[in-house]
Amino acid sequence: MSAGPDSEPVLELRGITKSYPGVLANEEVSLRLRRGEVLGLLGENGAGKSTLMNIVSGLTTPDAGSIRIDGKIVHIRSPRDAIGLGIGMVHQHFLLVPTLTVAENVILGERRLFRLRLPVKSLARQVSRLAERYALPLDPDAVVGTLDISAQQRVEIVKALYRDARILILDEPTAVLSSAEADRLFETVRALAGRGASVILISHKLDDIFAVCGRVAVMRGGRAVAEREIGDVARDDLVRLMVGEDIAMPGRPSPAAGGRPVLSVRGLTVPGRGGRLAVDRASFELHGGEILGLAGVDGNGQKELVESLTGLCPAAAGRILIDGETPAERMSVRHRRLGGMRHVPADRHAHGILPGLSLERNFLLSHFFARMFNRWGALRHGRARRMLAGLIAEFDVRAPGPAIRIDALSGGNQQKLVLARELALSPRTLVASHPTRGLDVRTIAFVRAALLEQRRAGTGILLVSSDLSEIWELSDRIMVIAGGRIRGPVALEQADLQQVGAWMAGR
Amino acid sequence: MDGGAVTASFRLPRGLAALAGVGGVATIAIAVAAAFIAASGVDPWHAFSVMAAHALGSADGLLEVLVRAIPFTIAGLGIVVAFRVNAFNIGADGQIIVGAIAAVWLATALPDLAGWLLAPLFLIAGFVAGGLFGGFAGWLRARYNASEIITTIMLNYVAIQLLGHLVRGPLQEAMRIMPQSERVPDSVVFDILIDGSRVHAGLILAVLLTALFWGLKRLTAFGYSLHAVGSNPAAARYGGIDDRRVLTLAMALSGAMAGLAGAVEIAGLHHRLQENFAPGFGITAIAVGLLARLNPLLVPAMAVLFGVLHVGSGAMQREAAVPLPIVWVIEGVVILAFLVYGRLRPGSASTAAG
Repeated sequence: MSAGPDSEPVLELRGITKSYPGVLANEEVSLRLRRGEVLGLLGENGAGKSTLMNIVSGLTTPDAGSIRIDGKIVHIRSPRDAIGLGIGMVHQHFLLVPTLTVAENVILGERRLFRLRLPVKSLARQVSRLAERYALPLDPDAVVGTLDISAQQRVEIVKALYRDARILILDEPTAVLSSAEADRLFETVRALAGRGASVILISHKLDDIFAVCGRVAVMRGGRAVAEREIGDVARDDLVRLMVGEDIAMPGRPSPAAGGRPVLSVRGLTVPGRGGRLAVDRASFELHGGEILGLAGVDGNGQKELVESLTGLCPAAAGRILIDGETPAERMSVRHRRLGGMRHVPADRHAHGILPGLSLERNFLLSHFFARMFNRWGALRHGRARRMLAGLIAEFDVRAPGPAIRIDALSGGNQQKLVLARELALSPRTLVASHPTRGLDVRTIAFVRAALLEQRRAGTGILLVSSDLSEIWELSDRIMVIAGGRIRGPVALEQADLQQVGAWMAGR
Repeated sequence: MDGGAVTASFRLPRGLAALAGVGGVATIAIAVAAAFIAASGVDPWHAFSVMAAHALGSADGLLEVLVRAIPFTIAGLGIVVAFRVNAFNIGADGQIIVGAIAAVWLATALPDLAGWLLAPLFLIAGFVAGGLFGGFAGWLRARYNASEIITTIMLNYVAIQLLGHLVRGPLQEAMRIMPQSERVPDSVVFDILIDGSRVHAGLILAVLLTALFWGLKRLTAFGYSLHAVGSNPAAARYGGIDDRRVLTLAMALSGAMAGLAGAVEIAGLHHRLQENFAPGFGITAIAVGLLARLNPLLVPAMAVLFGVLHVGSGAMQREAAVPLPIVWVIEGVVILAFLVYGRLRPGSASTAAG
């Protein structure tokens, strides 16, 4: 099926470097893709996979480095260039027109569209022939908006093939599929490779990699850290390559405070996509004065667990008890907050801040309903401003004053403000989701110290992170989520890196 | 606190930018209007000077401008509320009409009610009816993601046809000659503030409401919720704000203000229901609200500006033979310019849909 290891690479990247303000997204990345092979590109969110593939597909240009196709250096300045070179990309979010038919979507962007009459019949025939050849069941006359997600994905693939793509990039294709649909997709991928196409499959799921890839490249922190033949690599090794093996072993003696449970979770179940469970009967207890680390590869149910704990999305079943007695599973976000629960969101820009508003108004987001700042619906701005001034000093937020707009702050200072806001007024529980993701080293150290300080003050902290070294450095107890199921928790002293890695790999 | 100085130094550029934006839109609007006037064979300069002379050159003209500014202010405040949550309430015309209908209907249904009770109920009926009308569109957007721009425009036609039916049927005067209702009881009619003019007590109401809305925006948790939802609905949800409820409420309040403006027009000017009693006032209110951006305190100023336009255009038609609808051209350009501006500005209307 796959060509020999010595065959000429169809696509070769050398020393690709790309930086955005404050972020080095790709650093000296080199990669080879051979004819007829399926290459897995594995890495956590933010590892630089998408940036790299956006460079290959012409959505962005690299600062340095070269791209070779069939051994010749090429310059890809736009998606049109990439298509011309036979590179097709299926994005995570489909770029389809829902009101048009499958055939119309496939031919969209073709210059001959501007002809007066479309040869609809022959195009439809061409589309169904392509679909058949690669085991992609599709009705060319169906309206795209009426198709389910997996069929829309097939339309995207056919679209790329119709434009004669020899190199097909699939960005997290299984994220939206059920496992049966994923299996069908893998069949298609194999068929493509069998006919000489080369496929790059971006994923952070090990199952995908082992199911269909012949080789795997691992990215971490913007760099390509390894390339392995699938036959030569074990799941645990891949996990370690992804999350980093340079884990500082327990440097901190952790006398578990042994406080009372502030949050008890029993059999919590959250539905996911395609009839699967995103969170499957999760049970654990969080005590006051401890940090409970939740490790796991991204996309294994962390988001859904956090959202159901904080009240952003309802759980299908199970119980959440505050202080071991008050049922909270039906409480609104606001009532949970009033009950002492705080939340540092994983995606600051999506959920954490109000762009265009002042620091003061951003601070009020988590507190404006609390009696302290709200008298009969009137806001007590004076109190908010005084408390914020104290927090800005305490958390070392670099800002000229509380009236400045939050957009004017750097990402690190925004995150400090979010943290300050959530740690204000002595929370009983804190759900901290990827609290240091995307921050610089100094800010990371600051955030971690603040979490430890808050633990000392008696708050129970659930730390969700895909950074195993962070989990190891901060947690009193560790548990792992894989495929929506929770393993553990175990106390840090009894935790074994091998064991945790195996759990993360889903075994 | 030293924050004050920082505030001033950081806000000034923003204020200037906003002012420049408003000035730019006004210039474009006037230029387009001038082009239309020139196209109809009239010297635009002559037309504009006739307009200004009539609206600003005499006490009568100025007082008439104030009369016009009253409904523009009240409904314009509502437009600002909707705009705050990134919703465009294009249905002020329909809401003005249903507000007036509800108020007049209440007055006819309860003729024996004491005057001190009927007068406030008259206004409340207009407020509630407009609120239900606007709130319905808000609910459709919150629940089904139906564009409030489309639904409010469509509801305008519902209101216009309803009014046409009522003044020829159920609410028509007893004589059954004119398509209009019976005169409302004297108890609900507003006092005239300045003898010899049409300036009525609605002016006081408009000023009070402006202050009230400024306080609502700056000082209350509800105003804060609107601000948060308008900035980032997902973050608002994370902070414990029900963004769909806030969106529905904002549209309801927006419609309620237009409905109230309708009731005020009846109580202050017409004293009975007629077709076309507020021609295009809703669109004017939208232009007023957009030009005031998000600042309630600017609404009365913009309302006066459009008052000048409305009063002056009558004179322009009589003396310079420029057709009246030129006002609508100007208003249309203002609204279009702001819709485009809003879509182009990051973090504004374009991001609200998600």
